[in-house]
Order: sequence, then C-alpha cells, then structure tokens
Amino acid sequence: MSKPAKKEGKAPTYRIPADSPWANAWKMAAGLGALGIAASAVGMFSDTHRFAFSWLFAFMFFLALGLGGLFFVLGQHLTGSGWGVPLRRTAEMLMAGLPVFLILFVPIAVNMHELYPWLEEHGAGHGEEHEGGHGGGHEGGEGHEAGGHEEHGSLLGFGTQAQAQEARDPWDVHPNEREPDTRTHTPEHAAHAEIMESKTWFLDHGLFLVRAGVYFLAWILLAYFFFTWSTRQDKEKGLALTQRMEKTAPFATFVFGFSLTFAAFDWMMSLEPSWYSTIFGVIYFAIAAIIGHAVIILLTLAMRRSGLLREAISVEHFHDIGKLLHGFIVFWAYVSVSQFLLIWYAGIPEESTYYHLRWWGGGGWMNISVVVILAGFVIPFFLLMSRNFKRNLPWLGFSAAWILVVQIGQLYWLVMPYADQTGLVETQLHLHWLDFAAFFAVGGVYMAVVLWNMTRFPLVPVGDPRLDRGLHHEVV
Amino acid sequence: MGWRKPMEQLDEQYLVSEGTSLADVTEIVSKVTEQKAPRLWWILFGISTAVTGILGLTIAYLLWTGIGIWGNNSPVAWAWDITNFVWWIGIGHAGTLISAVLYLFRQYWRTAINRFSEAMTIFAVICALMFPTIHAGRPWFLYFSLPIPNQMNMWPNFKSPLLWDVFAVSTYFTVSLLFWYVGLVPDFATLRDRATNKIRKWAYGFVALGWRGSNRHWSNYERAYLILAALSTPLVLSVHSVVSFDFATSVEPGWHTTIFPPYFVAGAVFSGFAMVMTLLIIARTVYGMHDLIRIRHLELMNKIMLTTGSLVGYAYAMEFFIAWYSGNPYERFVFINRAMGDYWWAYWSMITCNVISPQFFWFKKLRTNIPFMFVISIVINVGMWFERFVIIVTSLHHDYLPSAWGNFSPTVFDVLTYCGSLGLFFTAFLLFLRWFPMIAIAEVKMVMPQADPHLGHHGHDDHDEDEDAMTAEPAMAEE
Repeated sequence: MSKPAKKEGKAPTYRIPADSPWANAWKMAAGLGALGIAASAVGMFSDTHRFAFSWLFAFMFFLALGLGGLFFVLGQHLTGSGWGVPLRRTAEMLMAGLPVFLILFVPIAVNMHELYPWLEEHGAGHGEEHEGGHGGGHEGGEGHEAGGHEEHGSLLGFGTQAQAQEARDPWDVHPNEREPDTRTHTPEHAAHAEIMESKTWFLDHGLFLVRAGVYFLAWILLAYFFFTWSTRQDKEKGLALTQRMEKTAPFATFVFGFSLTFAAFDWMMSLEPSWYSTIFGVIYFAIAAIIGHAVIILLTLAMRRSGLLREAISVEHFHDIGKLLHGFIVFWAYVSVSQFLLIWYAGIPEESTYYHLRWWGGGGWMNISVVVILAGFVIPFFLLMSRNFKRNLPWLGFSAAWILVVQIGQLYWLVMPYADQTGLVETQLHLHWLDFAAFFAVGGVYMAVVLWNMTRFPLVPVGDPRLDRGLHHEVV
Repeated sequence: MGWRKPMEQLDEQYLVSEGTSLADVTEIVSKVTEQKAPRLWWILFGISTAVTGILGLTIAYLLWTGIGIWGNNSPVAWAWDITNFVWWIGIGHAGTLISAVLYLFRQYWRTAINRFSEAMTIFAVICALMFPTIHAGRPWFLYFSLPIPNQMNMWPNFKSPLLWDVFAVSTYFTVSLLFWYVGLVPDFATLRDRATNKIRKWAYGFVALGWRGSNRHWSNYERAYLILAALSTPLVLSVHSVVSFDFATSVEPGWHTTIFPPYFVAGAVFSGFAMVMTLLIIARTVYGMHDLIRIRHLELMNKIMLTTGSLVGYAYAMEFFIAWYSGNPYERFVFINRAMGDYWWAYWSMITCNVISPQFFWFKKLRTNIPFMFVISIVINVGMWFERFVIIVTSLHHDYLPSAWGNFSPTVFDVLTYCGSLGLFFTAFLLFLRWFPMIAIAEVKMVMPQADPHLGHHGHDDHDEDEDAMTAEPAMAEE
C-alpha cells in the first residue's frame, strides 16, 4: 500500500528555483506594501482617527497569521508529529515574519490616543484632541456632528471627575459598604467613572507600551530560536536539534499562550475599556489558528501549482490539515458561542454593550454579524465536512480562501465598530479607503518578509529525522 | 493503523514490550476473566459493596426524610451534591477523550487504556446522575424533565440550562455506552472462543452478537467505530460546557464568566485522566499488565495532565485577572473572598492540587516514577473536587446581600452520600475488571509491529544508521 513518493537517485532540494515566479513574489508583496504605506501615510495626516483604526484592524489580522504559524510549529513539536513535517516549514516562514510586527506596531503606539478611550483620562485637553483627529477625517459627513462626540466622551464616563475622588482600594471593601457616589448625575456615569478609575494603573500609557514590548520580545525570541534551529537542522541533520525543539516547545507554548492573551486584551479588548470577557484571549487564539491553517493550505497549494513541493506534500497532508482547519472552525464557533450565549443569557448591561453595539448599534453591523456567523461557521462547516471534499484540492483551496476572507471580516467586526462609535452602543459602518490601504501596507510588508525568507531556505525541513515519515504519510 | 520503527532518541517506543506476541496479548488480557479473582480483588469488592450498601440505606433514609438532612441551606442551596455531580461527570470525560479524540488524532498509545477509561466513564456518569436525581427532591417525578407529551399540558423549561443538562448527559451516556460496547464486541468473541464451559460460552456468545471476525465484520466495525468517534468528539466538549452553563448563565459573581465552558472541559479531562491513572496503576500492578501498559503510556498520560492542569491554571488566572479588570466590585469581592475569606483553605487546596502539583511532570524522572504519579493522580482528584466546591460554595455563601450571608457545613449524610457514590463506582469497576476484557485486545494487536504486513521485508533489520531507520516503509495494518 505504500507508494514511492521519491524517485531514487535525484533527491529534491525543495528550493525555489531562480526562474520560478515565487523567487520574485516577495518583490510584488513589497511593492504592494510600499503602495499601501504611501497611501496610509497620506491617510495618517488627512484622517488620523480612521488611519489608526484601519491600521489596528490590519495589524491584528496579520499578527494572527504570524501567531497561527507559530502555533502550528509549536503543536508539531509538542506532539512529535511525523505527518506534518513537510508542512512545517511553511508555518515556520509565517512565524519568522513575526519580528516585523514590532515595526508595524509603531503607528499604533504613536496613535494610541485615537484608539483607546481609556487614554482620554490622562490628557486634560482630550476634547480638542479627539475632535481634531476625528472631525478632520469626515469628508463624507454622515451625521458625525460634534454633539455626538461630546456624548461619546461623557457616556463612557472617563471625564475629569474621575480624578476627583480620593484614592481607595476597592479590593477590601464589600460593595454594599460603599457610600453612594455623588460625583455624577446619573448612576451609569458614576458606575463607569468608578470602574475606569479603579484600573487606570493597568490601562496606562507607559505600562501599555512596556507590555507590548514584552509580547514582542517573547514572539521575536520564539520565532528566532525555532526558525534558526529548524533551518540549522537542514544542514546539520541529526536528532539533537529536534530534541532541543521538542524540549523547548512546552515552555514556549506557555509563553505563547499568555502573550497572545494579554496582547488581545490590550490591543483589542481595551478598545471598549469598560467591557471584559475572560474568554477573549481564547477567541483570538482560535482566530489565529484558523487563519494560520488556512494560509498554510493556500500557500502550499499555490506552490504546488507552480510545481514546487509536489514531491513533499500530497493530498494526504491536505486531508489532515483540512481536518485541523475544520476542527478550529468548530472550536472558534464554540468559544464565540460560549461568550455570546453567556453574555446574552445573563443580560448584564456592562457586558451586553459589546453585542448591542454590533447588533442594534446601527450602521449595518447587524448584517456583518449575521455574515460572520453564516459564512464563518455554518457554510465552512459543510464545506470541509466530507472526506472527499478535503481531498479535492481545488475545493479545499476554495474553502480555505473563503474562510480567510470571512476571518478578515471577523477582525473588522472586532475592531471597526469603535472607529465610528457615536455613543456607548451606537456606531456606524462605512468602508473607508484607508482600510484597504492599511491592509496592503501591513500585509505587504509582512508577506514580503515571509516570501523573501522562502527564497532563502528549503521549503521543507530537509534535515528533520521524521521527514521521511511525513513524505510517506497516508491517511487510513 | 500505521506502524514504524520508533526512534528511541526522540522518546519513541514500541507500544507493547518487545517480544510480546499476538497470542501473549490475548492471554494476558483474557486470563484475568478466566482465573480466580485475586484475594485483593475480593477484599476491595467486599469493602465497596459494603459502602454501596450504606449508600442505599442513606438514600432510602434521605428519600423518606427529605433532602433537608443534607447541609444545603440558603444561601448555599447547591453544595456537595452538585459538587459531586460535576466531579463525577468530569471524571467521565477521560473515557470519551481517550477513545474518540485521541483516536481521531491517531494517538495509537490510547489502545492500551481506552477500554479501561470508557468503562470508567460509564460508571462515573451513573454516579453523577444520582446526585441531581436525588437533589430534585422527588425522583419519581423525574420524567417531568423530559419533553414527553402529557395531558397536563406541562412542558419542561427549554430555556433552562438544567434541562440542557438532561439532554447533554443522557446523550453522552448513550453514545459512550454504544462506543464502549462496539469496541467490546470482537473481544467478547475472543472470550467466547476461549470459553471452557457452557455458561461462559453462551454468555459471551450472546454479547458478542455473532461476531466471526470476517472481513465484512471488520470493515463494518471500523466504519462504526470511526462514526462513533466523530459523534463522541463534540460530546466531549458539549457535556461539560452545558454543565458550566448551569453556573455561568446566572448573574452570580464567580459563576458568570465567559471562559467557563472551555475551562470546565479542560478541568474535566484533567480529572478524568487523574482517575484513569489512579485505577490503571493499581490494575496494572495487580494483574501484571506491564507488557501492554508501559511506562511510556503512563508518561504520555502525565503529559496530558500537565497540559490540562496548566489550562485550568490559565483559566484560574483569567478569572482572577478579569475579576479585577472588570472593575465590578462584586466580582472583585468574590475572588478576594475566595482566596482570603472563610473558605481560603479550599481555594488554596485547589490551587496547590490542580495547578502546582501537575507542574512536577515537567521532569521526566518524576513523570516516569510510578509511586509519585500515583500520589499526584490522587492529589489531582482531590483538587478537582475542591475546585467545584470552591466555585459553588464560595460564590453562593457571600453574594450581593450581606444580610443573607451564611456558611455551609456538611452533615454526616453529605459525607455518606459522597463516599457511597465512590462505593458504587468501585463496585461497578471491580465487576468490570473481573468479567470484561479490560484492555482492547484487538486494538492493541493493531498497533503491534506484527500487524505490519511488511514486517520482515524491510525496515526492521537493515538499519545501521538513523537515516535508514527513517526510510522504513510506512506500514498499513488494515484488514
């Protein structure tokens, strides 16, 4: 039943030949990236507010891709997998692009004040700052009058009154022993002000940047070590490096899990600083896993089309990674439903704002919510259900592309409702050219790095001791 | 199933001790049911039947008197009973995980332990179901919870997670039972064929459903097994998710948090593996199963415990962090109260047993040390009981209204019902060990090198360096 996948005599090198279109693909990505950066730079000055959100959306999407690659690599080492060895290098390429996000983070760090309402507390001149950034960008003028902003600021309740009260430690007083809050005129205002006041030390400009530095340090080190070891093994062969990678992987997974979680909290959850969900980090992890697996499928399929990797990756591998993609779609739906169902069922206002904004908040977000559910879970669940579908490569490629597009929408759904927020649970939806510009800028730069790395190293880990198992893998 | 020469430097091993033949496997497993039970079995069986008897008396008294004989009282209306329910359901999870999820992930080492843990699942779910049944107060009206058409126009409340529990757990029980039974059929046939007396022959023949081991039987069997595995996999997630909804859909601080479903599932798998480990080590030693259940199997189980224990630790950390981050004073209070309030000892027992103790398994020395892992597995079971206790009792005993605060203390009947459920579980389990093939004979044979049709052709004796070992042809051992 075993079939000789390798012809005897000429061992393939799994390198991209100089005449392959893949040899220059990175230049195309870099070109697109340059165009995107140029357009974004224009946008940054013409509409700083929108630019910041568009950039964050693109950043979080491609970051998920890089982290998804890292996760695939770690999973391979944790399980001592044989089947996935030929696919691992593609994931390693995605992972090796992670350091570039440190640079891509700069626009977010610079424009933090546009993104995160919790920063408004610090700047005394918040009002003008906000108006200036926001108002300038609204050529369209869809009812974004100043009144809306005023309301926005006060509704969220991060006003100057927050500083007024003496500092007290809310940990050691039972809520019922508190005296009533007289600082603001409505209970909701008071509640929000108090909530925000109690976590200012965590949601703090400096500490936010320090934490970002820690996450990047973690990811850069993980990417660096796992990529260097793996590529060094291409030449050295042997078992020592595999042993080292398998020894390091469990600890690396700890680092990966916590850094990803807190990055998701910091960069996305704190867009609505009064809202919280314990599962939020897990949801971002699920998204990263989906995006990572979908892109690995698409990249390897595309390379096979141009004749690369044909000896290494067969329908058997696609069948297996298709199963994993299917599994992660279900997992993502599961954790998303967990969050939704519990918030919906309990109906606590401070939590339900999140879904209220995306359902009743206006601007057509309800439609996107429906699309994300149907196109993100229901349809791909059936697209990838059958064994025959997963083994039909064009079908699998279509499904992976479909899923990827929906996940772009999912990230948009997570980030962008806050871009046009006009009240606590009111927002608008309009596609802006900057969304595309930022997407190309971040994606172009990141993919240029990934594709450039592909030209420098073999496309499969040729030194891996389990490679042969991987090459002869068959699903039974 | 595939078989390859293991790379020992990469911690790979034969799943069955080298030199064990196919006939040995049959012999090792079957003889347990054919010989007289060892003295230890009788001692344990005597104890556990006695304890089960006490359980029967306790329940009889309880039903006669009312559940007021338990310590549950406002504000702690759920206490040991629901703690025990969740604990037992959680323990049941390892069975399905090992038999279904690890099967789909092609983790062949599962074959040595799946039968064992599936049996454990069935008995654990039975023990679990006992508690809500009693707690509902009038077990003879239990059918009220089912949507049966009736002339009273009475319908269950479909919006209640407690009802979802009824559906989730009963589905889980049914599918687990089917899965277990389907796997048992070929092995029952083996016992039937080895039977030396009429009764045995007839009894095992009856449950073997006329299995002849023909090609068609095997191919139907494989298909059924795969379908049941695919059906069981979502159940691994759904059951404990629904159990977590019992708490998390409320507006109770400490209960209402969005990470509960996956966190409960991780905890369930964690405790299930710990229980399998406890039982497995005893059975392996008493019945001399060392050739089939190797240290490697135990080590891999310990790794899963380390993983799930750490996931549980992650969930604790998230709960605590978000309780603070939420800014919600009630949330904050509940968590501070957990760690520093009246039940601080329960909280710290939970942290020590569940988060700290599995961390020892980072060290290979410790995760291959049998007495050590035995102790840790019991510690984890204790810790997971405390986890449910902490969640249930500490959230209820000091919630919104200080005037309604109150502590919980168990009565002797709480203790008797809990210990009684252990008696019931062990009685059933000991009977299983005595009469059922405790290891899946047919499945273990599939992962042995002898099952490889290419054995002896190549890959086995022409390996003078690693490179050659790697080029061993992939082996398919189907049919």
